[in-house]
Amino acid sequence: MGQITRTTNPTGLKKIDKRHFVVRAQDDGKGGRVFWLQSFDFEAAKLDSSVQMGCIAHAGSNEEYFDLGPVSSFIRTPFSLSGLAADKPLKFRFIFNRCDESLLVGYVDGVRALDEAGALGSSLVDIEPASLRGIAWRLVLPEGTGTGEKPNVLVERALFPTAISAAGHSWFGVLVMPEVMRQIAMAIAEDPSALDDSESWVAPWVDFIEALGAELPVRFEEEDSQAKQAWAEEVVARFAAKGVFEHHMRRALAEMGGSEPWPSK
Amino acid sequence: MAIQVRSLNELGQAKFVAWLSNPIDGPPKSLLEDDSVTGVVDGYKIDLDRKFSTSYELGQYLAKDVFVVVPDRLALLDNHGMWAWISLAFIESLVKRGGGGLGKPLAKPHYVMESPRLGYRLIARTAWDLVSLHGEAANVALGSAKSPWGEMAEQMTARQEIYAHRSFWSVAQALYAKPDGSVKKGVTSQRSKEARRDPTNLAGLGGVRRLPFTFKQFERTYNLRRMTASQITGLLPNEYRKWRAHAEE
Repeated sequence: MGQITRTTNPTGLKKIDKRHFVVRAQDDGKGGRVFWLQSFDFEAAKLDSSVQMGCIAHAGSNEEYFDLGPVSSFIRTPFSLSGLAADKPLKFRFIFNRCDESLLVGYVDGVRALDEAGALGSSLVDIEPASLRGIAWRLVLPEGTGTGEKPNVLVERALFPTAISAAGHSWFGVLVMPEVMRQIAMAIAEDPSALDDSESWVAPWVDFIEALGAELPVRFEEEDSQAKQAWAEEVVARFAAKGVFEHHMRRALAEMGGSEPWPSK
Repeated sequence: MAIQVRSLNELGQAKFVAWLSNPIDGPPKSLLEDDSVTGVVDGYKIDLDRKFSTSYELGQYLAKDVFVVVPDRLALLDNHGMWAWISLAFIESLVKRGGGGLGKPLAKPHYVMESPRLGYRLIARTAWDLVSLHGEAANVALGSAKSPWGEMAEQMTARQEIYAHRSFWSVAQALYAKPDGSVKKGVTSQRSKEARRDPTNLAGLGGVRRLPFTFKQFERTYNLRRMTASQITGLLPNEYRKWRAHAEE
């Protein structure tokens, strides 16, 4: 008798590629957010034009559902997210079902709004402006284990209104990103076996760590926090030696020395 | 008589917490209109003489008569001093029931915000929010006449993924509520280790502790948000048969 495994798909459910979606999000001017689906390429997703689309917006552990109508003429006007916390990462699950039945024909998890993810969609870390109430930044590691999950650096919206403004800022690069790398490296060191699990958020980091020239972590003794820290520090040192961080450091030093900061690239 | 809703400041909350820790004398109701420990919350009036036999009744009163037009739900939920003030105002309805006189208070998170993680246990705040979100279906969690915070309330509010899920609440009501609004016996039973090892033992199956997991599973393949309670209950596996049968009676 056949068995249901991770690779079988008994329900015939189709996982839709995130690249077919463009979601936008903005402040609503009252401390909350609005979002809208700017585009969705249903033909590229190989969905019938009459298929219905729904969207579940998540922020932290809160969520809200929105009916978007048929994929060929979905609702493009902004929806209020006032029921969701404004200081938590915003992610979207889109679900698809035929008009006359509730059984899903497709889904996609972990879609991010373009304005919140900036141009960093293909990177391993997201940067997201949020209202942090006096804290400049905070790293949120994925709670789940899915490959759609990414570490998310929340940045105070008043300092960095867009992800790109943070990513391009030299002090952000010099002070924040190495610590982000260290915290991620420590999370990986806690469970190096996840690097081999293709369904874990950690798996895509194998290539990154190897590209840095660092050794992949061995399985540490549970109590050996010194060894974990030493490995994490090695990763951070190699990360900070990357050209882009040298560039950030030169700019920061120039600014400290009284020079005008160079214009961002 | 209706008065303006107020909010306890830090000192006021500390005095209230001191009484909750050692409730020998009567509750410190004098704090309610003491300008040195309270501030007015503009726009809302409340009748302090009201009494409630269930937390659902309190939620109904707050949703229908006090916080009728709320421009910002999250801001209201965040006003911790106000919820502490409301808890003190209606403390007689929010303490242990049974026996004569004023019962003892439950744990402090049921009256004041001790940590965001336990925020769902703040009875008045959650009662208002659930009635606002789910209307009559909130009664299945908050309708206990025995305690202001029964096991149903704990099970149905502790998980954020179902707290605001409208379909979940209508299904829970259809499965577990009796026509008079009370909850069927055995709904909150936990499946013991022994029962889990014995396939013939049905204890705890289909109860409210298992429903969130079943929902999570079905959400992967169905758009439950577009389905009615009866469509969803018809979909549920056999372990829910006994509750479903009652629901259809």
